[in-house]
Amino acid sequence: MSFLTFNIPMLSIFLSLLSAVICPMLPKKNQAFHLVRIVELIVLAMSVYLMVQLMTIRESFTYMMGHFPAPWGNELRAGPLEALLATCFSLVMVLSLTGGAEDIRRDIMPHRQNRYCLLMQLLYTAVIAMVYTNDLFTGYVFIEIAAITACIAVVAKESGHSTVAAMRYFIFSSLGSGLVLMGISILYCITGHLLMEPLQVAIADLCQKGLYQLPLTASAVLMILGLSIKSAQFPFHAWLPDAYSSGTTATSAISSGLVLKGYMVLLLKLILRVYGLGTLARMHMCNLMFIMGLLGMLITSVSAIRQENVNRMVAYSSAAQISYIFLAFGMGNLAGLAAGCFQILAHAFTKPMIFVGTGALIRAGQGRSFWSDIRGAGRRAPLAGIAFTVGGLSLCGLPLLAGFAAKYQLGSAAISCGWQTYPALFGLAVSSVLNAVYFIPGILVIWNRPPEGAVFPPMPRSSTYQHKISVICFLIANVFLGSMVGTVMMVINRGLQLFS
Amino acid sequence: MLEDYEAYLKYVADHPKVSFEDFRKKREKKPRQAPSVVEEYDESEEDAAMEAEWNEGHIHRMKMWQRSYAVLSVLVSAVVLVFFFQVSIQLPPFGDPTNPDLNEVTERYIEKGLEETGATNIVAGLILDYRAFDTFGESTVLFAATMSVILLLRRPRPVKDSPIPRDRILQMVGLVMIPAVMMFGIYVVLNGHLSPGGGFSGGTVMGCGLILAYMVMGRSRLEHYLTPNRLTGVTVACLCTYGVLKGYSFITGANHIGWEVPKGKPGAIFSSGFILPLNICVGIIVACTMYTFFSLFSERED
Repeated sequence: MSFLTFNIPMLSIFLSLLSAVICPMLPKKNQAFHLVRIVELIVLAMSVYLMVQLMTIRESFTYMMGHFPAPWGNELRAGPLEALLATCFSLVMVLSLTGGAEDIRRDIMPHRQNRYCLLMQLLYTAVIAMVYTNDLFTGYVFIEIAAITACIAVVAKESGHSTVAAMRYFIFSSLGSGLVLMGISILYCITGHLLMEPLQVAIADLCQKGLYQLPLTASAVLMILGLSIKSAQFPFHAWLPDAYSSGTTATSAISSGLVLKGYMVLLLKLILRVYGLGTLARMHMCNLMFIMGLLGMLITSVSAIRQENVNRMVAYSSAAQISYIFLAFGMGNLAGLAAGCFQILAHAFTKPMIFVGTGALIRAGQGRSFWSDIRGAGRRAPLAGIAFTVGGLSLCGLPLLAGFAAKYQLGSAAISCGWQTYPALFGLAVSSVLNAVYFIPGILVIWNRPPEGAVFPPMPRSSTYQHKISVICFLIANVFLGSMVGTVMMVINRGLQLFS
Repeated sequence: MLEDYEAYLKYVADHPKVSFEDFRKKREKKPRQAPSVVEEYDESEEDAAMEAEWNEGHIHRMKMWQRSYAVLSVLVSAVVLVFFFQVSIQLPPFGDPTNPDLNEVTERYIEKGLEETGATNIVAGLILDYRAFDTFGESTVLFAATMSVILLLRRPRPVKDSPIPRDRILQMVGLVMIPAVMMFGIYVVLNGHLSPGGGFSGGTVMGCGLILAYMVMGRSRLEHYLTPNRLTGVTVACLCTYGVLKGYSFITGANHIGWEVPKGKPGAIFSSGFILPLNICVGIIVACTMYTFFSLFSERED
């Protein structure tokens, strides 16, 4: 393996972190914005290169952070799956920032924009670090960074709503971090390790001897609940709709596309690399995740139907899509985990596209985000309308789009489970219908004729080409994920095989 | 002017005591808002009636919810309490030599820590050499918190200065204390690799010193030197230094290049490689964080 390939994970984290740190020193606001996106593009290119390299040599590697080997120092780990996730997250980040640029300029005061870019870049670094980390405590440190920056990103758009929403988000988020930290400490108490491989060995040993079973279960419960609070999984999704509907477009897109997914990646690592599927299934954790996912995808979809505000509806739909991932992880087999990974990618490309489209539709409508205000907005901003339409249809499960492929993978993974088969298929079918029930009226509304005598504000002219590029890239990525399922699944499966 | 007066005539009908001058001042003082914040719009009577009806139902639902909330929260807390008691009883006892967390990991930290990191203070060697990446992350958490507070609370134009406090006792005692506190903080930071202490604890002491100086001398005198931009600059410089130093040792370490930093003689002030400069960086970051929090929050309270 060449010198460059080997160092890519560490370089990705350090480059993005250092670029974030120097943001407040840049004199003009646009410089920070450009710097942030250039660094993300560099990381994107490096991750693609890393993925191709690792797929050809068919192996993964660990990277020692410093002079001390595994259980003593920190460690990163990179395999095909990590490289794929880093690639997708970088792309989503660049596209969301580019697509939301117009709204950032409108919503956030000029003297704050530099620091907003800084926080977004820190958030991105945290997610990339969660993808590559091989150490539970390092994972926790970056959970904290993601928690702080995501909350502040919501409140950066100054309004009463966003302040209240961010407070609520912060309380939930701190509770989640606290639970994860307690889980990690209990695990450290009974095993003496923080690194994932030795942890797995130690846990297998404990299970064999039958020691400390209650603390072990407690640590698993705490960490799974903590991560599900932070990723807005069903009983804990109360913070999500307000936080997403009151933040600026880029914030909502990045939070739903990246932050929630970062926690899901950590959860995947916990399942496969720390506890192991067998142990988790014996502790009934798989059933817990499965039931949470199943209830979540039905109940949040029903709540989404009742929304009058388009952003809130999309936010509830995010909570429903996270439930799909929980459902997939709860199936307790490798096929389910692979389907969950595909759902992570599909949702990471679909939801930011919808948010970017919605942002432009709101701008093109009468200025607010209620359905009545954006009636006919699709005719004024056709590309944004197409983004919303394609995203909505993708989540409803139209073939050739990413959402369909994800549902297909979930369904085929469910076939080979035990008792979960029928509930999972039932949940998939019902939630797809519910998705259609709330997305299709929305699509009809935006393409409808605007009401008589409606007063539209003038369309902003400047820099809409950025928005266009972003939406077109999202559309291509969506169709690519939907039509090239085989290739993507091959990378995911190889990554998962090297994972455990 | 004429527009203003017309608006005033409408306004005065509800608020008879407000003079025209006051009204104009009030209008001019309107806080700056981001352009997208929606202004309040007039509600028609129909809207108001509907809203009243909705409010009534809402209040009823809220009351029901509050009652069930009280019961539920007590129940959930009780369950969680029992659960954690059970778990903590089953955890390994504190200080038992057969505990699982006393394994080869801690053994090497304690037995070889001095030799491998050159730091007499094992904790400093542990957090700044063995697990330096985690500490880098922790410093970044502090940086993120500072930047968030600045983003939320800093105003574009400086606000009026608060007067110097007239509390003589505070002033006299403070003037005596500040140098001592600062010196102690610097000592704890610089001696971090030799004795208990280090960047985090020493930085906290220095931060307290700065806060004391703020209270004794007033903001304007302190901000003569410590302008918000300079504080940010210093923090950024420290974090960048940390990143570059550690980036160097991560790359050389992971690729087995060698080029290790000389450890020096254990116990000497210039020893243990990068730990001393890293401690200084962490200390300055912590001190700046504490001071920025205090000054921004107290500025808002004035």
